[in-house]
Amino acid sequence: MLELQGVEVRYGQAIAVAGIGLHVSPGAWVALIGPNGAGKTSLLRAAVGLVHHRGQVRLDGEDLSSLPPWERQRRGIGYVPEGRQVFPQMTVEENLRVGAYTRRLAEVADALDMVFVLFPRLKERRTQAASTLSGGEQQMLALGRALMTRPRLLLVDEISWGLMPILVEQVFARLAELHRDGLAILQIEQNAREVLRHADHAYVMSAGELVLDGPARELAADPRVIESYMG
Amino acid sequence: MSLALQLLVNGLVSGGLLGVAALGVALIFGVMRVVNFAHGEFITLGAYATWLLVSQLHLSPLVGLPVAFVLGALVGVVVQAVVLARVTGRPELDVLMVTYALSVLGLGLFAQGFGGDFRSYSQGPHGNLDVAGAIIGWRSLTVLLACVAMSGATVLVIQRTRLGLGLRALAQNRDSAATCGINVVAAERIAFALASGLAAAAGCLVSMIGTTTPNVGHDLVLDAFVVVILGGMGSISGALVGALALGLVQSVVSYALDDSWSRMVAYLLLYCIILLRPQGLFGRAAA
Repeated sequence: MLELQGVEVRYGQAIAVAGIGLHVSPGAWVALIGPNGAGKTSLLRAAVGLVHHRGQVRLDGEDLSSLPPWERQRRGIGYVPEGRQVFPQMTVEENLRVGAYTRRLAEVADALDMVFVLFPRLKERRTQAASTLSGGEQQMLALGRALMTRPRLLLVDEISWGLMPILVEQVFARLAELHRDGLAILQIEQNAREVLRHADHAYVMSAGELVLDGPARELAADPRVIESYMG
Repeated sequence: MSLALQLLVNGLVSGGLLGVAALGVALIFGVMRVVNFAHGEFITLGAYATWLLVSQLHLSPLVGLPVAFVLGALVGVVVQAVVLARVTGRPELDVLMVTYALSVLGLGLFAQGFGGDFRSYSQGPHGNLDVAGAIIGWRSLTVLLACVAMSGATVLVIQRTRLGLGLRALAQNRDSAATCGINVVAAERIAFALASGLAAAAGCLVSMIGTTTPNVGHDLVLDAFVVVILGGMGSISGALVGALALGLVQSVVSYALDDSWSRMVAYLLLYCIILLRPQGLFGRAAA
């Protein structure tokens, strides 16, 4: 479904992503783990079109490399950015409506219901400004907003960062539901133990390059992974 | 009593014009993160366009309102597409210099095209309304009503429509707006066109109650910048409240002291705000 080939991201002279190729099959849950500064976020930002990159980003065979983010969204890529990047001065419902910006009006109500069923908290707070939500709620909102775009592939960046363990469990439970319904997921996660339990496949990234990849179950048992990321 | 009323009306009229001008500055800054020094030239454009309609085609200056809006919006689209879209994302100072250059260019073109003469006309609403001893010109009243209508319509568009939702999203988080499917390039163009159209429509009103010169808009926008900082950069409601406040203060000051004091007071006010509340009256402190 998603295919990255030779993706390279540079900031001035610094190379953040040094020619990476990976792929996500339809309906698969793929984890991307690695230390801070490995270039994981840059790789995801390249995939959604937020940073200029070399190489190819393909979705179902179509080359998206020269398309801006809003065109990639239209083709089915949803993005949950790192660090709760909601629209702070909008209400919860308005945030979700921005997610449905490109959808027909008739579909928006259904989409809202779907997100409110998944996250009852958001329904309770629908008229509250997003900036007044707790960290966990903002993370739910960012995920809900991405779902409003009706993605076929969801790119998720450090969704559990800073969340209490019980919330981490909830977020993963929601992702698992979505995955069961056929959504493909590419997820960056510092909680390697948790993500490797859920994902089908995993890549390990370090210093801008892929250093390992394989079935998530196998990587979870790999001593190099255990030592570096699950200690 | 009648004096107070008179000063109030004067203040509301100049505050209303300032408000429409500031609305555009705030909209452009909010959505594009561009400080548009050339905003005043769109006001001047509307003023000259209206003057031409009245003096050459013998139309009512009220016709100038929609004509100026459309003209301003069209010129805005061209300026945004040809000049500004190519420099967005560059360092702020670069973009600032570009809009400053556009302003200088506009000033020069107006001076070349129309000369430095004071242009005015007598057509349009005239006569006075005597309210409790205060003399209120129908022209001033027309201007005030038009300003209220234009600001109200703009706020409605921003708060209640899908387009407005997109523009607010863009102002609050650019990347997230783009990944939610909002076409950032198109949205910026629309915002700039809307703001430029509003400015030109304000220019039509300026030509109605004052005289039109090549720098009439330039002068108004200097106060509009004060108002935008007063209200909080990029805050639409802040800009409107700031404009009314400054209009009223200037109205009183120019009566009590002298006209030339009113701008000095504006900048004194600005200085105090920057010292005491740098995020502006309605702005949010930087996180």
